[in-house]
Amino acid sequence: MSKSEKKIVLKSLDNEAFEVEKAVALQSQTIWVMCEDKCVGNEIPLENVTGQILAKVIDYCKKHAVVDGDGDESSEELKNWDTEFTKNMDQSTLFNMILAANYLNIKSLLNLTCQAVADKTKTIDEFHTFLNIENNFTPEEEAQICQENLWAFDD
Amino acid sequence: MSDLPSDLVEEILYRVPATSLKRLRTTCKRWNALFKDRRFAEKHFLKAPKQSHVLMLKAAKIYAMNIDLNVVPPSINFKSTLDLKYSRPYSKQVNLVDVCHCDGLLLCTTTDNKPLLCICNPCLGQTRWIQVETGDHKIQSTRYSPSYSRFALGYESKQTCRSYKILMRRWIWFASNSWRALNAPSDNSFKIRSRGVSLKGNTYWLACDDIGNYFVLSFDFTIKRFRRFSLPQTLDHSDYRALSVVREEELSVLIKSNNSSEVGIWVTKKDDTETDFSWSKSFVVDLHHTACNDVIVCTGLLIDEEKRVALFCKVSGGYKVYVIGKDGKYYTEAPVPRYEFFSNSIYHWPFIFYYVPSLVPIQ
Repeated sequence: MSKSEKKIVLKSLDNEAFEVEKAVALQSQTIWVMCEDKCVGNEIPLENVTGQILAKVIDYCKKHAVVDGDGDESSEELKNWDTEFTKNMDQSTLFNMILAANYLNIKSLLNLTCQAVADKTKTIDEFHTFLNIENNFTPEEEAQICQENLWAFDD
Repeated sequence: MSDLPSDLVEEILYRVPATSLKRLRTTCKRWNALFKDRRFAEKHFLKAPKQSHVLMLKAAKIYAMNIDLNVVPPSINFKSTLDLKYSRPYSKQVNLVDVCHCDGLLLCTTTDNKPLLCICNPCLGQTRWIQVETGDHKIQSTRYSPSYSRFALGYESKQTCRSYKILMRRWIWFASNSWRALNAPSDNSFKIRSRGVSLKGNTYWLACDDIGNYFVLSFDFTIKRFRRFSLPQTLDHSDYRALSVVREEELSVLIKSNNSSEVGIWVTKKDDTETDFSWSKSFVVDLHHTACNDVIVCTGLLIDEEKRVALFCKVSGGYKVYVIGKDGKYYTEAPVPRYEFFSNSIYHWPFIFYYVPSLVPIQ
């Protein structure tokens, strides 16, 4: 395989182009299927992902790709890297990462980003704000559900 | 803020611990319905982080315990109790004498004139009461002096699901749809000497045979058979021992010889492919310099393997619960309230265990 065949270009929604190793890009099942079907050339347009988010996705895929002996990091190191990766992302970036991971079908990234949101969301108010939920119970209905409570498990 | 489609919101919710989701039940009708959905519960069970809570059965109630290892010596607090809501005709207070759990479902045994079972999921607020109609004179006459672990909860692994069952020695109730009684294998060659603990759907007890040999007894709910496994060391009748499950993945046994001040804590991973356990010694706590030197250890847990902290309960001189760390260099003790009705009988000894809440519905 020549060097150029091992590379692939990913183009974001806002027309930013990223040249990456094929092995890096193929962690995305969506890209893998596109390449298998030969329905795209060497340049793959990703219409749902902005350049800012795609850059982060590629960072993740590079870290997790097994490329020419680069893949011998211990799972402990990878785990720490994953934690650092999502640690400072704000909620909006995380949501965009979830959407991108879902669109690109990268299961481990979807898992990581969903878990990061789950971990960062603590209070009832945060759940409501982040996930756009309105309380639609009447006080009577709420009291009824509280009646069912067997345990406060108060933390 | 979020424009995530509902399937992705669910992906996030699968990863939120059950106790947090429980608090959200009262805030949104759609979510309340979702958390009760069997399909959601199954995915949540697979993906949610397992949060262990330390619970204690004592004075006929189940208490949640809070143990803070961030302070030295660690602090122990008893928090809320499990508040079972009885429907008629069981509206009066009942006394819990035994408890076991599996996948977040608690099976509580109460004594009344006849054993009364309650299977519940505290996170979902679901309870089901089962009056044991056995016609067995022996069982009916066991008021307030129940035998150890008459009942156990586990599941039969099927290809697509887990079928939860209750084992009573001699009977099994199938939990699916109706609670039919079926014969369980009878085996009188052992005596059970501890409360049962559940690991991966099967129940384990400490038991001994007629000539006093101790072993771990297991009931496999899938093949419906009792099995025996070895202990890390030979036990004597006078040795104190406590069996527990750690992080839902390891069995742990705490052993203290009557004539020694050392408590040894052993763990084993249960691997279905192996025919016996391979125990490894986690750590030893020496009680020599502590006030709890002459204890009768009735129940105990490994709390933190790295920090080498153990929790146990002693009987002599009144029930007390201890957190002991770093080879007995520090410890905390807290009294356990007595319940006047309960005797010092070993059947009424306190029982400490880990419990991992879930959204698994009662079938």
